[in-house]
Amino acid sequence: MNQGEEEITEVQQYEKVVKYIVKNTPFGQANLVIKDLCKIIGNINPQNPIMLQALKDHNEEHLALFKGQSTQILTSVLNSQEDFYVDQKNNETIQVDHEKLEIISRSQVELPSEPDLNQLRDALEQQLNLYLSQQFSEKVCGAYVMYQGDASDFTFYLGITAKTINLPNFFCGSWISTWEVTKTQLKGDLKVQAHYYEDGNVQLKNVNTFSEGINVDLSAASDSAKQIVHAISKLENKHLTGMDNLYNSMPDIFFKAMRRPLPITGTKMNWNENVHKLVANLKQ
Amino acid sequence: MESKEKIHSCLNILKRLPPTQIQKNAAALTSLIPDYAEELYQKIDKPLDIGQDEKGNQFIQSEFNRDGDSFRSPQNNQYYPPIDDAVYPSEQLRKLELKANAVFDEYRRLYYEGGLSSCYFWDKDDGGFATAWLIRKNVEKTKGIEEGSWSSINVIDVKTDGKSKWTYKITTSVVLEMNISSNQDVGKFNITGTLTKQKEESYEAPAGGKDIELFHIMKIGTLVEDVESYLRSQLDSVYFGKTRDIVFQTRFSEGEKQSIQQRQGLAGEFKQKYG
Repeated sequence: MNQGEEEITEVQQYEKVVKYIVKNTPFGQANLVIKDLCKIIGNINPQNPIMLQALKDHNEEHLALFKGQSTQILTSVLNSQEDFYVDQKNNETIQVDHEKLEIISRSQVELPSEPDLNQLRDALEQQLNLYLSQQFSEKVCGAYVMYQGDASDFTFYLGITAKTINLPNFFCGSWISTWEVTKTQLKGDLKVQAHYYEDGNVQLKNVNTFSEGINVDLSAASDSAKQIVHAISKLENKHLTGMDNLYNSMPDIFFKAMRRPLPITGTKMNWNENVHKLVANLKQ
Repeated sequence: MESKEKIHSCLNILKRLPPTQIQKNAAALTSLIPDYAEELYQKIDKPLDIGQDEKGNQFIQSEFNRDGDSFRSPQNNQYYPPIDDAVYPSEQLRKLELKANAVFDEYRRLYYEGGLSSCYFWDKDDGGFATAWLIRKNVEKTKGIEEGSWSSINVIDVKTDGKSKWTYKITTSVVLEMNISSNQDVGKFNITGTLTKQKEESYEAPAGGKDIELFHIMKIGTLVEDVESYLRSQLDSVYFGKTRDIVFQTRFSEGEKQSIQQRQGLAGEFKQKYG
């Protein structure tokens, strides 16, 4: 094996590890993790293509929100091209800085457009923004609506996300839901994550899928949009209530089953008595 | 110095990843720095594994009873798989080890009502000794939980001043996981946590060194009980609950945002009116 071959294998190893670690990092901490990975590997910085690719994948999986002067965009696998993201509504391609979560530049572009579907898209956007304002923390939240197809055969893609990032107090969380809407069906995937790491390290990872029948009437865009977002809202509320119930039952069905706070006698172990009794038994 | 920085970066990263995946995560990181692998593995707490002897008797496998790829059983003091030239506690310490295992088993029964416990002792150069008291408990398919696991790792360093004062320094880590693979309301739900605490106490042993072994077991046992109870309470009431708080401040429950805004509005009005 000559020198050139050895180097390629080493880089491939870095790439595998970096991808895996960054993928499993909670949203909000990727930049810090990448800095530490660079220190471990040595002679590499966060702008290295391997690091940037891992960060890009991480941002897309978490529907990261990028802010610009007068606009913002959610990035996902759906609107991602190699060097830019597609903003279907505004007919633009957008370039972003993955480390700073900022929009770098925008260019006008002509995209295929379906007027019948545009109406529903705009109505959905309006309903989603209303939904965001009612149910989500303002700090970092956003939604997107995109579509594929035409009036006779369409799929709408919706994404909703909110993030809590509070690194000085050692916690962060993400709510990430993605939906597909056809004429007769609503399907969704939800990812809920939370991480608290002041002294200890506790992580929640929760995923759920939804599927429901609906009826979309393109000619009644406003009503259809309300129906769709209302269905989403109900499903997400139900999920949240389920989580609340689970947390309320945790002390009993989980912690107590793991280890009692006290023995069933109600008092701590009598070490003196037990030590003498059990050691005497041993001798026999 | 360079190794210290790299290990530090590894530990930083591990703290941001799920604690029960720590074996896999540490393996990924050490593939980048194979020379420091041993050093990193000694600094991490991972869920405890279980091994058994030829008769099927189980014991806990850990760093504290490991030599190479083999693990020593606390029941018969043999290594599995068998190896030549391994590390064993001194004869006196082995006697103490047997007694400690018998007593700790009772503690396990009282608090865990199941699970497996093991104690391992080893000699130290300074005339003292160290010991690890370990517990592994699994909960399977009960009341909706697919699986749950608890590992306690209590490591106690024991020193003497040469006379009758003994100092016990305990470091306890708990690693736990609750996994629900399919719940009709929440889907797949996984929560993992780890927390560590240290404590140090000194005691005067009874005059003449009588029953010193029983004394050690009582003192170590009491410390283990106190710190484990504290960590359990913290994980239950603070840490796991905090993940709930994080979710609910990201996505409010129905009507909650409105009522928060209402309260804020009323508070503002009150302030205006009464200054």
